[in-house]
Amino acid sequence: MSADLQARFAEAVGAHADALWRLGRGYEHDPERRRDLHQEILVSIWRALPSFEGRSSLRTFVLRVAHNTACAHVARSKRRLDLVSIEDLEAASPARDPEASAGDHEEVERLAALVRTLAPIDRQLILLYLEGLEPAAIAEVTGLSATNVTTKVSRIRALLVKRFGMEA
Amino acid sequence: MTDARKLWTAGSKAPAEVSMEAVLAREVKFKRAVRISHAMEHAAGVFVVGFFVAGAALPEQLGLPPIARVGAALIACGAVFVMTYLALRGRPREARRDASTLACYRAELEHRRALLASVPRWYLAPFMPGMVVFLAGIAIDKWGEPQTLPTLAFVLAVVIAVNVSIVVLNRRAAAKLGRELAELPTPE
Repeated sequence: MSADLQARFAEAVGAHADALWRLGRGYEHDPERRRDLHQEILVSIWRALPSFEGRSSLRTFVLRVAHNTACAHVARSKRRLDLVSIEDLEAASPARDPEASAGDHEEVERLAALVRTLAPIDRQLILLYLEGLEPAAIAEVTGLSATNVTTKVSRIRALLVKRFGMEA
Repeated sequence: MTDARKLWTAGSKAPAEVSMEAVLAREVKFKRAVRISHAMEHAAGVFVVGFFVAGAALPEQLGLPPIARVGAALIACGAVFVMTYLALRGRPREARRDASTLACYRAELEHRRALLASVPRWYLAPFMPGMVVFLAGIAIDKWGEPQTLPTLAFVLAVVIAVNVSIVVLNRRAAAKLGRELAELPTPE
């Protein structure tokens, strides 16, 4: 185990520590399982790091490894077949009750619960969007076309407004 | 109006600095779990092979009639084939986790679908010759006894029902994965 690799790992993970932590929120409701997934993601980054050749940015590399690990986590799950697309959710979403009010924590939990119902690729897309990535960066991580990402992002925005009354 | 992206990122920080020891310990634990899982698969295979090899090797007066012994040997060969196939191609591959998420997910689903769809070829077919010869050997040996035909018919019916169920269930699961694959977006 070289000191160089450890330093690269610290750099890679350190720069995205909060985003990697929040990623778990979109995959696991249970805090213990969320911590487990977080650890699994860190181990995947550690194992993949020697193959990083700089063909993409370090951020893209870290996010790809993290999301692919989370995706494999979903693929192993029996719940996989009950997941839906952004389009399905948009069509089925009830409009938000304008009188309803909830604290920020509850709103985030409701949003995370909604994210967890999405099929893997759409889930990654919405999580990357919520982390503030631009469509081009999302396309690079996911491998979707920029046009596809732009279309889906506009659906996500519509969904967030309709369901949560949130600006997006 | 609340900004969804600000709300999502605000106030949610990673709990603490990442502990290198914890990451490495997890890596060791993962490797150990993989080794144990492979060892258990191997042990189960060795048990099956050993059981049928013993059946084939025991002297006739203690065990099976000659043709059934050939069948038992063929079943052992089938089990060796299945074990080898699983070891070489059946275990989940270590996917390139730095590929785009769409490519990685597609590869994962395609691998699972191919494995399920090919179950008749690599899991059932290798046992068939041995099974047929084994049952034929028993039938020939016991021919003329009143219970032979009904027993043989019952055993054959069970074998066929189990095999058909395995094929149908795996094909159904493979078809579901196929539909999921077809719904994936087109890559860039």
